[in-house]
Amino acid sequence: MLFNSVEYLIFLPTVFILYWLIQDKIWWRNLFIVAVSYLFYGWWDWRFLGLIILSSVVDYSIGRAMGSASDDKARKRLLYMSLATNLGILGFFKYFNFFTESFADAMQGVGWNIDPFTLSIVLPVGISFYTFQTLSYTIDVYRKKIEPTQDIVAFFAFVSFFPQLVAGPIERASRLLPQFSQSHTFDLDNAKNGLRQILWGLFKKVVIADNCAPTVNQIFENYETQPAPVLLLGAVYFAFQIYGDFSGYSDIAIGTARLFGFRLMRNFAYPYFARDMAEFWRRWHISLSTWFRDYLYIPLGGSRVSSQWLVVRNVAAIFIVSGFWHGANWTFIFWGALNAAYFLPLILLKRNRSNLDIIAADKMLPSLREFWGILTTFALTCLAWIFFRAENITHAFNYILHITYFSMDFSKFSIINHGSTMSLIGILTLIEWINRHKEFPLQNSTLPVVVRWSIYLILCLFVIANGDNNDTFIYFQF
Amino acid sequence: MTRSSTSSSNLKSVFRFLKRTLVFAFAFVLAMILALLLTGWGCQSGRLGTAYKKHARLEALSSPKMVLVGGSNLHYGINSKMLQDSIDIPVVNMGIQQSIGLQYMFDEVKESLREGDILMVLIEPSSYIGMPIEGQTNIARIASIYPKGIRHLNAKQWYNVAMYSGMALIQNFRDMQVALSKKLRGKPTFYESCDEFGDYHGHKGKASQFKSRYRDFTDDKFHDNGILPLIDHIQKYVEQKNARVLIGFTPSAKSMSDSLFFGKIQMKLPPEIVVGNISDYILPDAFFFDSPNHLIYSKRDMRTQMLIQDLREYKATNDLHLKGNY
Repeated sequence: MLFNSVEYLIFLPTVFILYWLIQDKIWWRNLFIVAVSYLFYGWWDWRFLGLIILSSVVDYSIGRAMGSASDDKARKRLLYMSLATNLGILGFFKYFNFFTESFADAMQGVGWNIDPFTLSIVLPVGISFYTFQTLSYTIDVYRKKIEPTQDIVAFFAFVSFFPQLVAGPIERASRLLPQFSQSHTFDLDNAKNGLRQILWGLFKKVVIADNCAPTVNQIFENYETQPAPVLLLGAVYFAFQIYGDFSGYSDIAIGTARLFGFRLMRNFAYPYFARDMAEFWRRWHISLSTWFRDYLYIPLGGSRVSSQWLVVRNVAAIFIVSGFWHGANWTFIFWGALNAAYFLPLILLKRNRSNLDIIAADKMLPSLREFWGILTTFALTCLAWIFFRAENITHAFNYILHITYFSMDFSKFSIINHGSTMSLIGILTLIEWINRHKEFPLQNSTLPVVVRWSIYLILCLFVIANGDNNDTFIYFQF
Repeated sequence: MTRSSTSSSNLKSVFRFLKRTLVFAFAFVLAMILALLLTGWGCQSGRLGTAYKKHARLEALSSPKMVLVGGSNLHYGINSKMLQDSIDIPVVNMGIQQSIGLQYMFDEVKESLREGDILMVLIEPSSYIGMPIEGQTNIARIASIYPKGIRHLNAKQWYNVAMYSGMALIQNFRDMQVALSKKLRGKPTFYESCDEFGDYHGHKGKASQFKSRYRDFTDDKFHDNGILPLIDHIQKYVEQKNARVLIGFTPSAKSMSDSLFFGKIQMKLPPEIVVGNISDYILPDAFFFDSPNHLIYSKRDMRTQMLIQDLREYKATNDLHLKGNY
């Protein structure tokens, strides 16, 4: 079920009312969450519910077994079992064909022609997200950061919680699981903020991302015939498409969770206002970046290792694995490697934590230095996005090559055709800039009620006026 | 505070929140209706605004008369005066756009049908194979531009009005822009380019801008959109009024047509009311203006002559009381 669909418009209020009618009965509420989450997921394809159930059963059982295991060796064996099961399922569904095809290509390189054995595998929606979420549970239980839960229904609700099931934010067990053991009381202000965040998320997805998408597709598919300015525009549009799409989804997920009294972690913090790449990665897909930091980078030693080469290895590892997490394609791996290349100079020069505050916190406009930082960071990000969007590596390099031709033929570029999308991007950027100190722009507005309601009405009009596409979310494929 | 009082205050807060949300939803629906009506008013000089002109003629005509219903193929591609002169009964061209849906096209004229009238249905091939009979974006647009027509809408059409209202709003804005730009350049609007019969003349003297696209003609494209039962209903309703319903065909660009497939469409129609042969209306791409069913201005007369010929042949074998010497 898509957040931007009529089905969800009926699903959400129904679930909301029924949930709050189950008063003070935590177990029943959790069971209800599991049932509606499975309905939400099964709407897309009920057959893959089996994978979520399998993942939940395995990790719940392993968690309990770890709790009662007498020695560290047994605990480690159980952790490996959890890793093997979860990553095995993920690897099979997401990466099987990639590995067999890449192996065949490599063999062809040394003169052996092998027909790759591929399977027609459908990628289950959200598999990368819930796999990482359940893994966080077993790893944290193994590290004794959390106690294994005895409540199977709460655990199943934690794995399948519908707002963030298919595209995150990837929650940590230590943060979300205890919320399923608490009795939630309805908080009016929190619920109002939830609705505001849903509205803002819908605006970003339906109005910004879905408006950019057709132009991006057209430019990327016909890049050979496009002049440099149009190709640059294609990269910029894609930057806003993916931001609107993914951060929009996250906002709707977090807002929806708020309606039920749950707090999910922030996933985006105005990433395009970042002044350097390190700041960008503290602001983009925060739940995934911090996951890799906590479960890969720090266990590898992070930046506190004996040699610079190990720092380079650790940084490269998290970015390349992060790229590979996005999909079984060399483009994602290259995208990760490119971001590692952006990040490395900052960490080696120990300048990766130089921009921790809110940009231009007490001022209306950024300083020239800050503005230059934003501009260069955005340009580097757009360059990397070309690899993320391209069909394959050759496509990406050819796209960049065509930009460097500096063809200034504007006959195919009409400002009138792009005027409305550019204006919408301008509006988004302006609103986000003004509200950059907030978690999301519509949060706890102090504007008079008439002004606030007018803004909400205008945003709703924008959403409904653009809402006929029912486009799916990009991150569903990851 | 006891547990039950906490629960009840919790529920009260939930219902207070729901009440506010409903008030907002109501305000939003009102704002949406207002926006649609305002933009609809601004679009009265656009193509859909020609409904005013067409209805004015429909209501003014005495019976017997011929009422042409269909999509934009009629708006762009028929010479109603030539047809009228030939069959010697008054003609009105009600065609505007096919995505209004056949249901509305029929409902808006049915009350005006009298004994001896002929309802000539000339809908595009896609109307038979998937275009919803309840309409799409343009059912929402016509409701905003010609609000008098909303009395004809059924529940399914109202649902489509709601579903397509956003798209209709955008389209209304675009049409307002086009109308404004035409006014600023001193060019006639769609409304002004439409004659008293309901025929459009805005493309007079303009060359073909038609660009062919791939169109899939496989049997699974035959979606059951409920058009055959609707045609059956129309036939019964019209005959009850001692009027006649006839179904003819619309010109289609050759590169986007398939005579075999189109033949299957014709086979599904009740033969006693079918006029002409669908394959005859597959014409060279150069005859089309900007879409596979919009003829260039200079080919309107040819198409009208084809229809007159079809009516003549139909009259030869059927009981059709038309006075003209065709």
